Amino acid sequence: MPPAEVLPASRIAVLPASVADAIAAGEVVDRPAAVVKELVENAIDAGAHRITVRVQDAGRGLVEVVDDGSGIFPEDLSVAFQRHATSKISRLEDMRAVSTLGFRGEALASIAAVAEVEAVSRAAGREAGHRVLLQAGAVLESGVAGSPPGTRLTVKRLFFNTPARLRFLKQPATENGVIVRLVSELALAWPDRSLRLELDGRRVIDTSGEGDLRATLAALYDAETAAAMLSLDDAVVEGLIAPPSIHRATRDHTIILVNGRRIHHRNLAFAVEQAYRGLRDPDRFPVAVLNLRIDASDVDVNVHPTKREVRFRNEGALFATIERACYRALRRSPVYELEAAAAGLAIREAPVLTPYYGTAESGAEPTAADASRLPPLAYVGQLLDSYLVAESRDAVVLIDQHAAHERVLFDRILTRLDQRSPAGQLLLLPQLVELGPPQVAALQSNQEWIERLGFQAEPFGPQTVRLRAAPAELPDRAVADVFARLLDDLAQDRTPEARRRATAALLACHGAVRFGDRLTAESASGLLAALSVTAEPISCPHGRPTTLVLPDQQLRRLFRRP
Amino acid sequence: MRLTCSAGVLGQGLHVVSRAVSSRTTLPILNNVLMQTADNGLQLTATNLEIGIRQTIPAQVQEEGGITVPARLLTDFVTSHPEEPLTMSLDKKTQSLSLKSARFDATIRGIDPADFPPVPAGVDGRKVKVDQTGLREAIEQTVIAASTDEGRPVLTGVYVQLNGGKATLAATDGHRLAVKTLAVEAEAGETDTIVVPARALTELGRILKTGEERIDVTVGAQKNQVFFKTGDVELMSRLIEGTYPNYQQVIPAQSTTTITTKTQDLLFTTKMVSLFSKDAANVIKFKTEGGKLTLTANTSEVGQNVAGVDAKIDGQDLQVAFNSKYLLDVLAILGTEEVQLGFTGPLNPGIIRPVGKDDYLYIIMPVRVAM
Repeated sequence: MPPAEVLPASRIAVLPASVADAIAAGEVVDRPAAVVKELVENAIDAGAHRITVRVQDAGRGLVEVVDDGSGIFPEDLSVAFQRHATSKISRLEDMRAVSTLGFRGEALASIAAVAEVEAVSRAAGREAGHRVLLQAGAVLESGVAGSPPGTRLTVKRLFFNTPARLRFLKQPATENGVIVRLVSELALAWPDRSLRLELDGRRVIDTSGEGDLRATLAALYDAETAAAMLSLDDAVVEGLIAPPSIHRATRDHTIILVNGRRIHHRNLAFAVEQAYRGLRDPDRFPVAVLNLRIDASDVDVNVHPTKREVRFRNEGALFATIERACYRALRRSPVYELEAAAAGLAIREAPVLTPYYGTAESGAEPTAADASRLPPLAYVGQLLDSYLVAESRDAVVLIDQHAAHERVLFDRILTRLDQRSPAGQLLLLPQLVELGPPQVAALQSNQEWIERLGFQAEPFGPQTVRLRAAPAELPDRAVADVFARLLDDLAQDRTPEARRRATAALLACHGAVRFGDRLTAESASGLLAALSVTAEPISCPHGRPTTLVLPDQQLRRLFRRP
Repeated sequence: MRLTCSAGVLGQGLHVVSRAVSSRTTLPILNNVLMQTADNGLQLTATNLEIGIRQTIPAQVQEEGGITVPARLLTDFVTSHPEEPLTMSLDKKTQSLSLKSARFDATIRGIDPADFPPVPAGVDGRKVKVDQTGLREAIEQTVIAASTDEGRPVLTGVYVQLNGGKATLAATDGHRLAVKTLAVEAEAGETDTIVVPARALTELGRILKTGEERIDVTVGAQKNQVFFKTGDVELMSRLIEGTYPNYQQVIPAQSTTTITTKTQDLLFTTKMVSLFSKDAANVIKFKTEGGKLTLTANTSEVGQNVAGVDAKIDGQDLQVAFNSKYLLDVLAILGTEEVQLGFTGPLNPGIIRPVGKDDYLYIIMPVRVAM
């Protein structure tokens, strides 16, 4: 065994400024995207209209931001890179009402501490520009230079003096992805600024800066998505949210801004999701860009160095306001219409234009009157044992029989649960269900809830129960499966009440007629009649459309009638 | 192939076998009817692969042969044709069938009979004879309880138990059960059990005539097919494999409340009341109190209907709820003036019998509701 290594005694000393700066920089500048964020936000604060971001080698090679903003005075240019140097606040009182994006005076200093930075700027009203070159926070060169109005900041050799940071960077594709998302979000937050992003010479983002959020969204997503977005304009909440038919696999597409600043706030994003309840799949998330107009003194942004997190004076009220605004926009959303498009048929959500749809009084609680109404439908027939065809005024209406029945049963089951009046069909042939230990535990602790649904289960051995009754809507074949799934759900930590809608959706899905079931004319007409009186007839509890309207005028176009 | 037959007789034959033609199929030849010459006649066959129907009609055959032609077109042509002789001849080269009569000269393009799926003729196996009228009634009274859900295939069939001179037919969809017993002519000591698709029995019921004539039933030796033969019509069906659940234990031995009433009156009243339960899983409630029977249905958003029924009630007062459809189905086919309903409480099976007959019973499982 080798002798234990004896460490030389170390003396405690105050760190040199350069080391301290490098450490502090880590708080703000943790990855190339953070550089992009700080520089673009500075450009926005400088009133720039056109901002171009060039990134090479995922930010390790180059991050350059060129703007046409107000520029920096030559005498300020080197000072700008000192810690807590800012033009945005000067007194402590200013912090209570911060309206600019940056204010802490950390960004430039932090970046300069960990990279080689060249800044060229010509302030408004000056004849010539000025240039400084810094490395690891120290000014290497400074002098007059030719420059168009505005500022060009070039960051090279990022993290050259913090190898640990360098090592922890992700794959270039990942870092690029973060940068693209960041610039997209900034573009959506500032539709009146033209943002351009070039990755290794390839133009990825280019927004017009005309001040139109929908146009910006079209540049970032696609024209169809942008056209389909529903707009909100409330006293507090403004922006665009996607109709239920458009969704994404992650939460990244729900963007919340507070007075134009992008924030990350789990709870407020959840308020948006809540508004889609019954309209979306649990693992699909909305596309939304919402700006909250809040008095600057009601929000504290100085919680986190990168200002990602903020605190609100009255978060509960804000949550309710967002949810209500989104809910109302969604429920006023329209039936799904088919229209002739280049590729054949396209689906679009028709604007609200007929008296079939209720109108909402602003400020009122969402009510059934807000919901979309189907036009009166006359049943025509069934297609492919899966779709119902109906005729409406000047339109053909196609109905997904499963989705429609699901919606009908969902409402019925929810009503029953609310009224606490179960309908449990007793089974002539009791079914045995094998359960795992978590399921057994879930059954024991939720007995009353399970019976309220209509199930009746009795023990039949340690891991087996005998089902003697099941919800009246469920066909025999689905009983055991649905029961087991229900217990799986209950074994999660959520309370039965929180799962009320999910449970109703589960029962409805398994109770509904299936794709491929032939329906008699009588039961099909009955289904249409039942669908038309549900609260949200246009989509099933998972958010898929139940009905597609093919207006006569579109049919005429497809048949090329004059 | 060349023959002459009566348009009227051919039309009737096509009408019978067309029941087995599948209307929606990916196999075009199943839309066709197979026509083959036979001993002094023309044999018509149609199948949807689950059941097959064959009938031989009288015809003067001049030249033997066979062809398949679209059933729909041929049936429409023949049944609209005046009642007079039709001469058919086949052009083998083009596989087209020519139909000639005094005024018409039609040609129908066909498909080679070699492509038609084989529909075996019943030969070997256990044979029993059964009265047509009785079998038709037994089918009518049991198929209503069979399941239409392919999820549990065995329940889409009717369970038939042969035991000496007796056959018991039973069907259940898990919520109700129908059991019918009828006499058959079989060799003593014969026992057998099969599950016949309810759809096949429904088609058989349409073919069966009322009358004294008996029908031959043959269960194939492989126990995978059953053949029914009545006169010149044969129907064959595959059998459903699987173990039929033991339904006997469900049948209650006695009742604590019995209700006896007029079948038609109860049927009418149930129909009226159940109009108000369409949006509530068809649940209607029966209540007996002080010798009176009351039927109630309500749906909170729709409204409610309460009706009294004249009935003779014995035993304890009772409140029970069930799916009105299950009750309507049985009342419509009971066939007796009076019906008896027996219950032993709101959570036990109810039993329904035709008054004056002991060859039929129907079990209905209640629905648990808040009373």
